[in-house]
Amino acid sequence: MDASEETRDWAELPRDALLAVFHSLQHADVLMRAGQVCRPWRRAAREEPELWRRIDLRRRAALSTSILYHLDVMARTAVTCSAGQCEAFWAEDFVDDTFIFFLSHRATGLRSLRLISCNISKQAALNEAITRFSMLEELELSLCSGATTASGHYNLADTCTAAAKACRNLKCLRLNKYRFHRRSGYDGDSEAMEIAKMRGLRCLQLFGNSLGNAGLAAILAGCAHLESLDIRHCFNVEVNDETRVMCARLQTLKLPDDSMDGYDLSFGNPEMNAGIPGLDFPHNAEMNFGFRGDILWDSW
Amino acid sequence: MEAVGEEKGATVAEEGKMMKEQGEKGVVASTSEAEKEKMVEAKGEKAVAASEAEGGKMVEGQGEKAVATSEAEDVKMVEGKGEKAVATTEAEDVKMVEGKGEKAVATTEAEDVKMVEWKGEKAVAATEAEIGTSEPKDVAGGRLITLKSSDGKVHRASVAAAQLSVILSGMIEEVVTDDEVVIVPLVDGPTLVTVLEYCTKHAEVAAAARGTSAVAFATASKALEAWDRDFLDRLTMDALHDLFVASNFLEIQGLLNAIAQKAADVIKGKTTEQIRDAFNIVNDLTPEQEATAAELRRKYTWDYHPEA
Repeated sequence: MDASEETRDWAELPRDALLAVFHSLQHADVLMRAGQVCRPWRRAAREEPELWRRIDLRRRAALSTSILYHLDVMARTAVTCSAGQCEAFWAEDFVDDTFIFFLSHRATGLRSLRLISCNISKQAALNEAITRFSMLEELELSLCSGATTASGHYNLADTCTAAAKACRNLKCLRLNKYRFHRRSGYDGDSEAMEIAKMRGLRCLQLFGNSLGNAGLAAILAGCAHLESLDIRHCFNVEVNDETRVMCARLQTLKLPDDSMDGYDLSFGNPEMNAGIPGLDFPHNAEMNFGFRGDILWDSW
Repeated sequence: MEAVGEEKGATVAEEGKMMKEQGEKGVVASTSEAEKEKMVEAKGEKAVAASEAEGGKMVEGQGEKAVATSEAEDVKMVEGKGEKAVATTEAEDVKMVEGKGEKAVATTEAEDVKMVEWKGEKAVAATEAEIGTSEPKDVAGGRLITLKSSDGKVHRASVAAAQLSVILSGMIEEVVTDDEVVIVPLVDGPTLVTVLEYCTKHAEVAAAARGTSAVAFATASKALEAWDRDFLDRLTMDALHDLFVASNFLEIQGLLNAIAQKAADVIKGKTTEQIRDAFNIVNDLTPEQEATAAELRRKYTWDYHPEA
């Protein structure tokens, strides 16, 4: 082979070739490293919205290097680089009220939004943001925490109402809890009743949800196009002949007692004793047993 | 049939000799128009005679026809290919790649022509054998095409291989006569040889995989991915750069993606300065841009590392 002494100029690769390299890297590496090597690479990283159509900052994607990044700042930079063309935004851990507000104003063309372990203190802010994503086809709100309702349980029924109304193209919904809690005197079907209004839904995953047979029936009646349903650890559902008949039309079905194979989020063992307060629930801050504990106890 | 069976027991040495003969024939064909026409015609006849119904017995069928053919050299050539089709193993693939390496070390212009020519024939034969029919004779060069690289060197390649490139495919459609040369600007000789090596391999595998079962196809795809990795690992960074630019210009998407992935693998796990060293890139950021980059690193990093 001809041994040339000339040094090749990787800095001036054709833009298409360089973008192909960037597409093979994690977004964190593009922003933090490759995009700061030289001026042409920096321009390519910042001036090509195409690179930022799909932003994946979930835990395993963002932490491909040993250094922990401040994902909030990185996410804002990535969304800004997308110049309004972001179609998929997936994130874990850092999303809060202020970020969801930012996202709802800078990425209104989103088709896929997956938020895992986000911390929304004002659910109204989340609901308002959802109404701005009218193009959504895929939505995930898993392992979310925030202000609890009066009954002491984080409930996304209002968010489901907003999504059903605003996101007519919604096909895939994931609302996974960390663990199943059995509670007495609690309407576990409120989220299910709102999900039933998502007419175009095809894929639904509700790990550890508190829906019962009535909620399940409502979903199956309301979502005529449903093909895939995952209700593992939804132990309020009693699987009987009627349940099996209702679910017969589904292509894929996972029932409460089915194996956890393939489930990629963390989860805890179910809490099956309805009468005992969930002492390990981190956001039940109101349950103060040191003061007027007798009253709280009586309320259960 | 018995005669065919006996010949199938030929030794490796004889097979080697047979391959050499094919190479020689290629050289002859490249220098004589009449000889080339004759060879193409011969292949055409055999291919026309084969039917798709005989697909399962394709190799055997070729053997029989070879027996019936009066021309001794044709018999041996077809026979050799039949044996290869039956006996192909991964070891032979390795040997073939190794052989190409040797040729590359000793490459002269004439050998470039011979090497590409040999591979071209193989690809053509595979395609015709698998399809069970022949292309019209007016296809450019009887399924061979002549390419001239930017440094003036001439390379022969199969049309099937060249058509992996969107640009070359378009150029070939405009070729009118068999002896017309397609000029490939911006790609020099050594780079074009490497490009054609990739394209020939992929065209061969695609032809061989056509009509096979899903399992066989998956196996072939996996083997091809391993071949791609070995192929790129052999190249220097300079050769890789030239191949990258060429695949972008010629629009060979599979090759472009493979090189992009390799470059990305070089980048992963490295600091910005290490990336510059790996690709021999000068840091031309302005002081303001450098300060901004440092600030971004501080903001992005919970545990600040100077080298980050």
